[in-house]
Amino acid sequence: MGGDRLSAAALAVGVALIVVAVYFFLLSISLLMPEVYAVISGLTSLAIGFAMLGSGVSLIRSYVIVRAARRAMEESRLGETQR
Amino acid sequence: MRRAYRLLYTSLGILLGLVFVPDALELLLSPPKLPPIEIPFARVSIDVSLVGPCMLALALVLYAAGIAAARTDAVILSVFVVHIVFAVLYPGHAEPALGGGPYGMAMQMFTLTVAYLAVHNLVVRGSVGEGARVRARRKPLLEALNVAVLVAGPVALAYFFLVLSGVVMALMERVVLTAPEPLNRILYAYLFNPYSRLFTMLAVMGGVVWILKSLIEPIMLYLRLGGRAAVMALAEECEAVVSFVERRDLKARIGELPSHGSLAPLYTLPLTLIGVAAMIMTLVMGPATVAGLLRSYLERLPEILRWLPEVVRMRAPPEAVSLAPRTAAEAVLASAFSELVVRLRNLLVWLERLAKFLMWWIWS
Repeated sequence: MGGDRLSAAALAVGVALIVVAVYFFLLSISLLMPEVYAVISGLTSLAIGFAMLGSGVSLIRSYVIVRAARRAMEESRLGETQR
Repeated sequence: MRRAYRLLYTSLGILLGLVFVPDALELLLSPPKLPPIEIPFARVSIDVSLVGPCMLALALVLYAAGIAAARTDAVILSVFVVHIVFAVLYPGHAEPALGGGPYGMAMQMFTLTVAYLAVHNLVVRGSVGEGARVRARRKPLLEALNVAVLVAGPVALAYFFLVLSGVVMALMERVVLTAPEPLNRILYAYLFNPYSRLFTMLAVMGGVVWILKSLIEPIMLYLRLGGRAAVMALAEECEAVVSFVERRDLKARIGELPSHGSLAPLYTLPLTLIGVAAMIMTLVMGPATVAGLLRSYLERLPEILRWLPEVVRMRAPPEAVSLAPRTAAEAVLASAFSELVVRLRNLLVWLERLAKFLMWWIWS
C-alpha cells in the first residue's frame, strides 16, 4: 500500500514538474521578447525549465518502468501458482 | 535482404539521388570561388576554398557506399551534408526542386530523407514479410492510418521545424539588434554569419527536439513498454545507481590522488630573470666585457667564499644565521627540496591507502 502511495506521489510530482517546466519555458520566451529584453532572467528561466523538465521526465520514466516491471512480475508469479 | 529487394532499393535510391547528385557533381568539378572568412576584431581571415569540394566529395563517396551496401543511414547523412553545403557555402548555385532559397533547400533535404526512409521501410518490410510464416494482419483502415502517420508525421514535423526555426531566428535577430553597441555588432557577427547561422539553428532545433522527446517519451513508454523490457530497464537503472554508489565509496576509501601545482615556476622565474639580466648586460657592455667580468668573478670566488663566514659572523649572531637561508638562491633551493619531500610524503600516504583498499577488496 505504502509503495502504491509513493508511486502515485512520484507520478504527481513528475507531472507537476513538467507543468512548471513548461511555465518556465513560456516565461523565458516572454522575457526574451524585444519589448521586455531581460536576457539574463530569460536564459535563467530557460535553464530552470530544462532542469525541471529533465527531472520530471526521469521521475515519470521510473514510475512507468517500475509499474510495467511489477505487473510483469505479478503475472509471472500468478503463472507459477496456477502451474 | 533478398536480391530482388536489393535491386529495388538500389534503383529507387539512384532515382532519388538524381535530385541532388548532378548538382553536387557539377559544383565538385567546377567549384565557385568562396570569399575568405573574416574574423571580426581579430584581423584574421581563413581561406575556405577547399572546404566545399572536400565535403561534397566525402558526401558523394558516402552516398555511393550507402547505396552499394544498402545502408540508409549513410545515404541520409550524405543527403544532409550535400544540402548543408548547398545552402551554406553555395547559395544560389544549386537550384532546389521544391522552391528557391534556403527554405526550398531545407524542404528538398527533408523530403529526400523521408523518401529514403520510406523506401528503406517498405523494402525491408517486404523482404521480411515474404520469408515469415506468420504475417501480422491488420484492419485496412488501421493499416492506412499507420502508413499515413508514417509518411505525414515526418513531413509535418519538418514543416513545423522550418517555420519554428524561421520564427526563432527572426526573433533572435531582433533581440541581438536591440542590444547596446558594440555588443550587438559582435553578437551579430558571431551568430548570424552564414556558417554560425547553421550552428545557431542546429542548437535551437536540438533544444526543441529534446523538449519534444522529453514530453513524448513517457507517453510512448507507457503505451509500448513490455514486461521483459521493463525488468531489463529496471535492472539497468539499479546497476547505474549501484555503480555510482560504489564509485563514491571507492573515492571515499582511497581518497583523491594528491594533486600539486607544477614545480616549474620555482625554477623558471629566477632562471629567466638571470637570463634577461645576462642578455641586457651582453647587449649593453658587449660579450667580451661580460666574459671578462665572469672570469674575474670566478677567479675571486674562492677568496669570497673564504671571507663569507667572517662577514656573516660580523653582521649577525651565529644562532640567527645557522638555519635561515642567506641568499635568494639558497631559499629557492630549500623551498624546492621541502616541496619535493612534501609531495613524496603525500604520494606515499595515498599509495598506502590504495594498498589497504586493495587488500580489503581482495579479501572481503
